[in-house]
Amino acid sequence: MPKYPLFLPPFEFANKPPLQWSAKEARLYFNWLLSIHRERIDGLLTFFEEPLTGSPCADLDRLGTHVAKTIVTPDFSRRIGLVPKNFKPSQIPPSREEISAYFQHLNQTGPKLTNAGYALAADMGLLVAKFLLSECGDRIKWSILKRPKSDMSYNLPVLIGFSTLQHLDPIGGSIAEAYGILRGNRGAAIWKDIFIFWKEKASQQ
Amino acid sequence: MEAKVGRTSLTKSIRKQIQKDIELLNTPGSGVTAVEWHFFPSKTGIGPTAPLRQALEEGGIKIIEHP
Repeated sequence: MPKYPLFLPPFEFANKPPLQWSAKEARLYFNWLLSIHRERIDGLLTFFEEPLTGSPCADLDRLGTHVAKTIVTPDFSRRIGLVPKNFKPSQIPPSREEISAYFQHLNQTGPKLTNAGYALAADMGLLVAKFLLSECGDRIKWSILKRPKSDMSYNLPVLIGFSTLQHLDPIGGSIAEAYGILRGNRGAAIWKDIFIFWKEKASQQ
Repeated sequence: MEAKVGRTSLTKSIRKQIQKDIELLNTPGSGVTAVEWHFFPSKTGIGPTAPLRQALEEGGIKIIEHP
């Protein structure tokens, strides 16, 4: 199987958390993402030798099945060796710092996507975004999320224009769902489900 | 992951928090695929009261106690 093309922004600032990006850096990343959107999807389709058929649900079903099988293989994800430790506080009640350190430890356990796994999950998110944009017309569009600052997608490209729910971060959301597959919380249909759910939200306007 | 210290009951603000978690859990692509509430001890005790436990379980939220 050929190597999966990595998702590497050509900017040094991309190594910093997006929360620390300046407005100019967020704009550079946004423009870069939109410029490579099509190329990334072509790479995804070429990798699995799957053409688009004109039916987003059928396409996401087929590709989701490929991705769910592929993402659990060693090139795309790893299980790291840390075993969840029992929480043993030094005092009762435990301090905020102790709880935070324990949560950090839990976050480091379990499966991890490799760079190729991240790229694959990101590209599935871009494919979902492409379908939403083509199906929902000008009701939705790309934007940079500028508030709230506490949002996981702050400074990142998101789709906006949905009813009730504020925005969809197709890349971050897709990566999280790929983790869901690795942990057994999600199945291959998740990308089709994302598409159906958010298409419905766009049509409720 | 959510941390609660001491015996915790189903107040109005906790109910709101549960609703938000359930909404995220049921939104494909939200970035949330599982929710865990961790309960830590304090002088008031530990863990959810029965109504809170029920609300969490009904919402598909995992309860973890650290006695």
